[in-house]
Amino acid sequence: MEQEKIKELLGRFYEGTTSEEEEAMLREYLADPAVASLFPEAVYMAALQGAVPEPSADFLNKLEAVTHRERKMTSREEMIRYSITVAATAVLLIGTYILFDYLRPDRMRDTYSDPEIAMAEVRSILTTVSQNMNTGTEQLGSIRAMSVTSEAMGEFGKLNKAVGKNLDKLRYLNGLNTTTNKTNNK
Amino acid sequence: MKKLVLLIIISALSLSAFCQKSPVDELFERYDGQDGFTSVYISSKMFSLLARLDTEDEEFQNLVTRIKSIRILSIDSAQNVSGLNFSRELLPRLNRTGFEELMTVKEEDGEVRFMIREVGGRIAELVMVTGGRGSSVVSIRGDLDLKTIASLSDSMGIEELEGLEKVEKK
Repeated sequence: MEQEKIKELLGRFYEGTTSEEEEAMLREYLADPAVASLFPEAVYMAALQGAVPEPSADFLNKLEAVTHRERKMTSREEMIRYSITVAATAVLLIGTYILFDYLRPDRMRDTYSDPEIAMAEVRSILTTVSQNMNTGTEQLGSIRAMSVTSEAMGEFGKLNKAVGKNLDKLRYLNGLNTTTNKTNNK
Repeated sequence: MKKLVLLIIISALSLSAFCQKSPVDELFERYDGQDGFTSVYISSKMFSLLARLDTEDEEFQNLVTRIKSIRILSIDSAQNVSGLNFSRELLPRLNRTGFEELMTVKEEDGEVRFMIREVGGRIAELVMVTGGRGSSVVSIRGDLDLKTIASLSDSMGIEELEGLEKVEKK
């Protein structure tokens, strides 16, 4: 019966749930050599008989010095750390925005479900855009002719460059006249 | 701590700048589906299907494969949405958000403006804004080749165009 009690107390002792009275009781039981021979824990419990010494005054400081080392970061490391923080925050916010934007119920949906009809509509739209574009580029040929002439005039090359910068956007339409002429020849 | 707050503020500001909606997007969101407006949207998914269709016109097929999306918004004249002009509403904002004017075509009944947005030296978006009566906006996104678009109306005959007008819309 006593052994059962000791076993139960030992079990709770190892779990850390025994009270001080129970621990004292356990030590008392195990102090008996007849009982102690049955439990190997008796040696360990006997060692706990003495009072636990108080830590020295600078014990905590020493412990702190061992466990927590202050390491000063270089400015480069700090910069990298902050950059990573900013990038992570930005990615998180952008991701949230994109997700909510994608899940928004009023997103535009395809007008056509049949590719054939969509293709015809695309052709129609592009042709309308093309017609409007051509209305505005009829005079492009003469502009290009001016550009060539100024190059040939040498000193007026600077003027040509200045004009060329402003007409830079029209470069996307280069060759349009060639295409138009080809079509007319047909 | 101060640095962290500053970084969060900078991140929030840069994010708000990054996530700022295009004026064209805002215009479509505002008027799409409303009475008096007609809108057409052809998505990148549909364009990926169109790229697989067999067409005899190789040049046109090439053009289609480079387009990501097309959107049209027009004022239905029958509904008479008075006082609204996309040209007036959209152009000042387009100028502020990286769009450049390509050309303006002035005609008797209004003007047509072509605005482009460049990314890495290539045209990423073309916006055609028609002012005056029957105001409309056409936005084409993708890796655009204006030369091919401009040559489309030359290569197509009038008969083909008439045929397209008869296509029934869904």
